[in-house]
Amino acid sequence: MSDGLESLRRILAVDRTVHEPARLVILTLLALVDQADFVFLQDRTGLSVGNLSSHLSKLEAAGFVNVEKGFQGKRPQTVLRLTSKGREALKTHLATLSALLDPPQPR
Amino acid sequence: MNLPALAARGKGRQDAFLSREDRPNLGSRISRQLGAGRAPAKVCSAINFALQSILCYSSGMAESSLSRLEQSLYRTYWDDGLLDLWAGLGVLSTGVFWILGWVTVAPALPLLLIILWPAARRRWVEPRVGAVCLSRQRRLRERMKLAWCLQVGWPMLVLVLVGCWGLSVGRWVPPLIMAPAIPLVILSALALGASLMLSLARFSAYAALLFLVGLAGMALAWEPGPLIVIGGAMISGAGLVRFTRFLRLKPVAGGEGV
Repeated sequence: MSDGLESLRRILAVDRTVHEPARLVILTLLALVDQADFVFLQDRTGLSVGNLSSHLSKLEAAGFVNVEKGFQGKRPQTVLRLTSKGREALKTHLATLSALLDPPQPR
Repeated sequence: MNLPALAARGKGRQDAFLSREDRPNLGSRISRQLGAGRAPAKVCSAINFALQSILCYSSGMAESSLSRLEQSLYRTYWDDGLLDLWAGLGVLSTGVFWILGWVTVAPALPLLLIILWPAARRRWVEPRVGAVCLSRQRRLRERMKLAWCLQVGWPMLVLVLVGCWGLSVGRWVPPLIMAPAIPLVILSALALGASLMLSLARFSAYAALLFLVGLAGMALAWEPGPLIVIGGAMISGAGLVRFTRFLRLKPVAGGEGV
């Protein structure tokens, strides 16, 4: 099978937790920073509170995101950090997509 | 440690971000490899600094799309306009103190503004757009930019002042005429440094504005105080417009759901 078709088939095996567009955006944003709070993610993604919460719960359950709840003064604050597992999952996913868009040339 | 291999590893798109283990003290490790550990401390420090600069800028961050995302994310960090307003108020207050004859006290309010900056950001900006801790690589790059600005900026400023003095000694320009421009040149240099550090083009515009105000003052033989007030008022005005637009477009966020 050609390398291009092989790359295409690998898409079928992607981690769907990462592949969902909203979660991919969330993971990408967290990969660009050390940590961010819930309001930052909501502002950057444009997702509603409920929608963002749902996606973050799934990412936390998968071990991709670390969630810490606390307070900033009197204001509750939820701080999110990408775990090393999440970083690896994102790297793998981006590599898979990259291979599809820029497949290795046949010899 | 193979430096070309390390740089090449950083250049790969999949490895656009160095791991936590790699980031700190890379320059120190490489300078030891190069035998710089036996050199005087200042030489080691200079080599370490140069190598860290090269590694950061050749690590592939400039080439990957994620790095472009990070760059634009960093630029939007300053979009609220609070920094512009703060800088404008600092310049404005310096001018006011100058007019009142309290030149030695002039740096007091700018220093106070710097101290109050984090609290102001937490009070007015973070409830609307959230709080973020930038990546360690970004913080390292900004620290190095600051160091470069300080190391390069001060000699250049001295050169400009010496040049101004030279022009006056050479009788091309009478000495007293130069006086109004000098504080504005210094403020302009600070604005330019801020523009380079924060990658904000509008601070270059502020720098040009302050420089032009200084030149105009020199031509009109005005005192420096009113010129600084004019420059500060313009920057504060621009900052106020940007900040009020930010407050209008970004309401305080509701509750968190997680």
